[in-house]
Amino acid sequence: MHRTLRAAGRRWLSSAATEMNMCTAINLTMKDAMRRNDKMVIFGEDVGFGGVFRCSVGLRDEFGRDRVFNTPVNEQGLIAFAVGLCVAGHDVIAEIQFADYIFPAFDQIVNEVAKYRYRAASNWDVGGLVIRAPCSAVGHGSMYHSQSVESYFAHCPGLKIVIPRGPYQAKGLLNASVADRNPILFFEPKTLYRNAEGSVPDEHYTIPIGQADVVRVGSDITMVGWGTQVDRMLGAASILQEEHGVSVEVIDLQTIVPWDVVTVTESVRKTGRCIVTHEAPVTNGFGAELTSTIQERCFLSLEAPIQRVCGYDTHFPLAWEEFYLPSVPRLVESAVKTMNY
Amino acid sequence: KLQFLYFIETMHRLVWAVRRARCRSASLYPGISSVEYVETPEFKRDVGQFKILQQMGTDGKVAEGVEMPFSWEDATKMYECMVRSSVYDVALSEMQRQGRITFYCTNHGEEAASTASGAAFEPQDMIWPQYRELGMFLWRGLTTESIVDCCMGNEGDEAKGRALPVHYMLPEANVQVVHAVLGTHIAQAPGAGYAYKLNGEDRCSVAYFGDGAASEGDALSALNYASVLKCQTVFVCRNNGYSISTPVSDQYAGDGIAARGAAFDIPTIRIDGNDVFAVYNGVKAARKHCVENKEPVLVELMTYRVGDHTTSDNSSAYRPEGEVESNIEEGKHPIDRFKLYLEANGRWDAEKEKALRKKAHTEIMTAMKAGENKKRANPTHMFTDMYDELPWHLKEQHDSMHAHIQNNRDKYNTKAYRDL
Repeated sequence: MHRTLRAAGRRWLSSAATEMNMCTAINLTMKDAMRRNDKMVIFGEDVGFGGVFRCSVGLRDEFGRDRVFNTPVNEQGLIAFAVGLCVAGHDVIAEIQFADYIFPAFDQIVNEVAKYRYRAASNWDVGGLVIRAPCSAVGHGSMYHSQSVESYFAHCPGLKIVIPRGPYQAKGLLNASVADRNPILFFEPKTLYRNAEGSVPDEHYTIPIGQADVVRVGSDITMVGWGTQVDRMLGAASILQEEHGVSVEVIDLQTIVPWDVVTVTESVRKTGRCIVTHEAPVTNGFGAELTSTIQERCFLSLEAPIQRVCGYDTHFPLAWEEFYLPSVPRLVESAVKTMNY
Repeated sequence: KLQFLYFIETMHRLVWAVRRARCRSASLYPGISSVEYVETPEFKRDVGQFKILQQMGTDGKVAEGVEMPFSWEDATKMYECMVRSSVYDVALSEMQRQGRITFYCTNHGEEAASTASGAAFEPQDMIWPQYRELGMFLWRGLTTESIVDCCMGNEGDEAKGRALPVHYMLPEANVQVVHAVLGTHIAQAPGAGYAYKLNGEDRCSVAYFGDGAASEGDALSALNYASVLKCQTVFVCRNNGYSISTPVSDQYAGDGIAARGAAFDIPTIRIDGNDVFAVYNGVKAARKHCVENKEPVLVELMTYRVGDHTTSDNSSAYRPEGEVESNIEEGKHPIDRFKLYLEANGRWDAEKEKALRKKAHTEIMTAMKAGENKKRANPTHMFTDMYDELPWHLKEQHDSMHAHIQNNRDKYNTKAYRDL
């Protein structure tokens, strides 16, 4: 179910802002990054004509084929090529067409990108690399166009993982990712390219990597999620407030690794209850890591066990997407159960 | 009359449509090199034969008309690197057997392939090694101290002891870190080669790899990317006949690795990898073509792996008896071959040989003694270089580790580590 999302953003009082969707925000951010750094290059499959999601529209025209180009259909080669360019002093935004297809590059990411600085004792590094990939459910994507893959990579030391929930966050986080001197996986929930709209300041700004955002303040229960799930948490929070009198604090984690343990644990110590929620399958999803650390640090504050509302441990099905997803009704049900524990 | 004209018109259009179709057939098939048709099925399986570049025979004599492409000083320096590589290999293998280092990987039989190719590149060329290129490393300035400290994993190692033995690097001399995962570097070199082209540099990137690594997907990816994106990259394959116990007959069916270059329109050369002249001249020509034409070149060096894969291997378990001997006898060994040439030209003799081998042996033993007295780096460095700055979770884990060590000092070998 799609509806136009208005991502909650902060307004810069002094500067101009423009209404746009997340795709446009990413496009403009990349354009700006390319203007600021003439050693930056952007490439990936079909990036040249604008990309299958149109995120790179206009870039080749402005910056030329040397700096914005198509690669062969070969993800392992794509990321390896990016490594070589970074080692030679360039910054790279490498696009993987769908997060579902990142796996051929898994070896390069885990064994090379993540380890480059460590094994070279910082003589070289791949800090100039941002890997962008559209992820998560889109309504009709099925098994190979809907996956959320953050937990595969969260397990690998040496990477950072960032997931925006809307255009304002996308610009700020992507700017921060480009500036950050560590390799970053930037997963963009593809349904939000068009469905997330909001006000985006015209000027350059960053949102700190590793900082979560308390999107809705509440007192009875904390919900932690990211990407598309944030809007579902907000939807559940409204229903819980109106129909059950439950006050929900909604946190957008924004960075998966390294995640903002302070913001999350402060919230859970305040509310005493927590739901962790993500589209990725529940077993060994990043929710497991959050749950483990939260209970470790907030044990005495907890009034109820931490719940995980996540995808089932099946592959992402076409026909039953509405049941598979950690939907608003599932979140409401879980919160009510937790409140009544 | 109108009907007749109409008929003529239609036929006219039909004829021209056919002619246009025939002319347009070239653009109907983008991405191929010829539009010649045949009427019976034809299957093609080879891309033509590769001739092997050889300029110095196993008798040490150089072919007519071939001039020495380097100075006698460089010739001697190359020979010294080759011998040192061999002497160090023997000493370090012995040290592994004695338990003084945990592991070692020799380069026996590939000294010319490694050294002469290394010498043919320019100092600014960025090299991605595999792990059997000690000659190249020595040419570029790797010290005995670095070799030993790396093999011992002590605090003198550039990588602070994080990796296995032989995982050298030379940051100031443009040699990337040796790493264990096979072939991943082959596809990285083109990225740098692309950068050098973009920036108009007289510079190439280099990827060394063996016949086994050439089977990895990354190797194919590398050739594709380098050729289509036109990268200043020289690929150097040491085809030494084995990948651990796997002979090339189990590794591939085609005509070596050279045949793969043609598939990507990459200029390719096959060279007698044990011939210093041919390796040097061939690689130099490859580099020149690469940088001048801003496109990749593939070099296949035919050589033979005389030693075991590593100290964890015993190749007599899978090599036919006598095979090693037949590959190194009568001047076939690259060191013997080059020595014959130097001696014939009065530039080398038995005394010099003895002195060099003694010097090399002393070098490695001295480094070994010094290395054994060095400590290992403080385990704080388990956590450094993971990111540019230490994130909170690593800071916590680091502090927790140190607290644990301090509370359990008697259970660990704390004296072996710097300031622990």
